[in-house]
Amino acid sequence: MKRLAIISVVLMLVVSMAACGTSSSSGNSITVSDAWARPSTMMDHAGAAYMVLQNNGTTEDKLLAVESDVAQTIELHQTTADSGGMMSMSPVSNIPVPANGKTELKPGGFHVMLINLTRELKAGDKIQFTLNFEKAGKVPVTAEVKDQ
Amino acid sequence: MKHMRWIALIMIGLLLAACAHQFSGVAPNPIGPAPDFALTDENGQPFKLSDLRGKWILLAYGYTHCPDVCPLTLSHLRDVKQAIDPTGDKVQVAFVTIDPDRDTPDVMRQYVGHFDQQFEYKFKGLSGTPAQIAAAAQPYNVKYEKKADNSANGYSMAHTAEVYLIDPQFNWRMTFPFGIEAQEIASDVQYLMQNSEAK
Repeated sequence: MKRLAIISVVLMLVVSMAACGTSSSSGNSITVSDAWARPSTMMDHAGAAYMVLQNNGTTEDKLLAVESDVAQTIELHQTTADSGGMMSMSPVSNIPVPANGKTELKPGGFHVMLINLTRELKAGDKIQFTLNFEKAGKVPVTAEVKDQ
Repeated sequence: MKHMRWIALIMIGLLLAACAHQFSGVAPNPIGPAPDFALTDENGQPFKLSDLRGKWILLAYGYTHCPDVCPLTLSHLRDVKQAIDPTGDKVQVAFVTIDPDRDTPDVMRQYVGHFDQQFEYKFKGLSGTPAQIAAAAQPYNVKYEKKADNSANGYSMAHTAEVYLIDPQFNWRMTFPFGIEAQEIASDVQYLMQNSEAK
């Protein structure tokens, strides 16, 4: 009897977890994790923020813009390396996030560039961003300033 | 009994082979004197790289308006210094700008100051005329070029982003590619410090 009760509880948990998975994978919902930014060096020098964008939807989505009061201008940038090891950084019009997949914004790749900072960024500070996606719309994100 | 001795010897051999250091950086072939250059330091004083002879030098090139690649490199070099020589002056970091139009000695001092604040022995932030920078970059195969793009951040600089290790005898010992972790650099530097005759 006791064993039956345990099996029932486990089954209910599995069913409820599966249900959660189904609900989050429908539509074009985006989840953002591991958002962080570097401490600022100088106020007139651009800063950078990084995060992982997870697309739970069945079609590709695109990050189009990022808003925050932390900088006067915020651009999406990508660093790429050529075959000779030259690293160059260019603004991009969007950052694609594949269907049921993720795009990692990380040093040496895609990043959110913070131009003309409105305040100094120190380790431990929190920054509020609003990410604007083509399909998912506006997604609020809190990034921590980390000296890493 | 004789077999046992052979087995023990083989076991010791395998253990030593497993412990052999695997370098993450690439050693020049052959190892030879490091190219010297003359620039201006973060205090506006004339500076030659060979002024650092006697120390392990970690040399990197970049620019201060670089928000992505250069802070990563300098954070790594800070972590390497922290791991192997946090209070001493055996390991010296030198950062050379490839954007002398914007990176004056004063800007370089402020910039490297964000990465060396916990150390008593500070990083060198080196600037100079465009011709001096070119002369400091070319012998290390550092490539760079100005890129006019439509960013509100102004122009950017494309550049190679390797780190060069020079030993206390002023020999160029190793080149670390961009993207390797701080602990990999620290492990190679530590190994060479402990086996400084090994080439």
